[in-house]
Amino acid sequence: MRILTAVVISLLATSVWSQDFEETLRLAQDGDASAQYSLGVMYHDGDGVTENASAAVKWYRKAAEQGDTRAQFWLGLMYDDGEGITQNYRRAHMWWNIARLQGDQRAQQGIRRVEDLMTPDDVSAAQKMATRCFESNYTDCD
Amino acid sequence: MRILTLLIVILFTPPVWAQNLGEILLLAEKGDVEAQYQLGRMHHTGRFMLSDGTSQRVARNGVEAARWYHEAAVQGHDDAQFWLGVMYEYGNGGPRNYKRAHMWMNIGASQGNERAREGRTSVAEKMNLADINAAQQMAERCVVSNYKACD
Repeated sequence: MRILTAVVISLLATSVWSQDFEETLRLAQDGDASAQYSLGVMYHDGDGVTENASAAVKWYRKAAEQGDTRAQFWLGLMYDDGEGITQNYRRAHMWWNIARLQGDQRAQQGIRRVEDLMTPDDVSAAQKMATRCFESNYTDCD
Repeated sequence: MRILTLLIVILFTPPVWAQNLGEILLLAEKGDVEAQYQLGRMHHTGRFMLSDGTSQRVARNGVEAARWYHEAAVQGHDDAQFWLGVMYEYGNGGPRNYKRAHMWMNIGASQGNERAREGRTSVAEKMNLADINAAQQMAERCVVSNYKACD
């Protein structure tokens, strides 16, 4: 009996879990920035879906390019760490610079740390990239 | 599917190493990424693994190892990317090149390859900041070009 209950509960939980994912995926595909960010987190943590860092990067990027500050912070972290994307300090700096502009405190700390790993030329290149990305309203970020 | 084919080939051909090798070479030449990686390993380690678990000694050849690792690496094989990075780090099969080593390990690591991640960290310790950042741009360019612009 207990086993049966456990099985039923876990089946229900699993279905709620994947329903959550399906719903978020649908919204994200429709272009909802917040859902795109949440989907990124789900892929990053393996919550409701198999963990997949490159899929996390993909969805963080979609949300980041719609101006979602949380996604910008996490995308910067993925670049800093080289998780799901090739490690790239300039890109981390770029996304954190943009997130900082919108008041993200963690991004400020990230910038301070990553600048220790960059030459002045790299920092300068990253700042130009951030300006171009931000002023183009996220259409010129690559 | 290709891996399955390779497995079937390995499992059902008689344990004559030359015949095994012939099959792998054929597959590798046709573009089979796993066969290319196995050839890289063979030339690198000087051992050819047979289907019965024993191995046959062959001459080590760094140039050939690097060539086959490269073939597999540009098809996205993360272990081949790691080993190609190792070849560049130690100047095996070609001149030592830390930037290239960092580039390939960075790419392998981005696919979740743990050894590549550790390798990237250790090669970075031997590099200056300008070279590390330059190697990161090379890695991005390589991946964005779908492995067309990696040199």
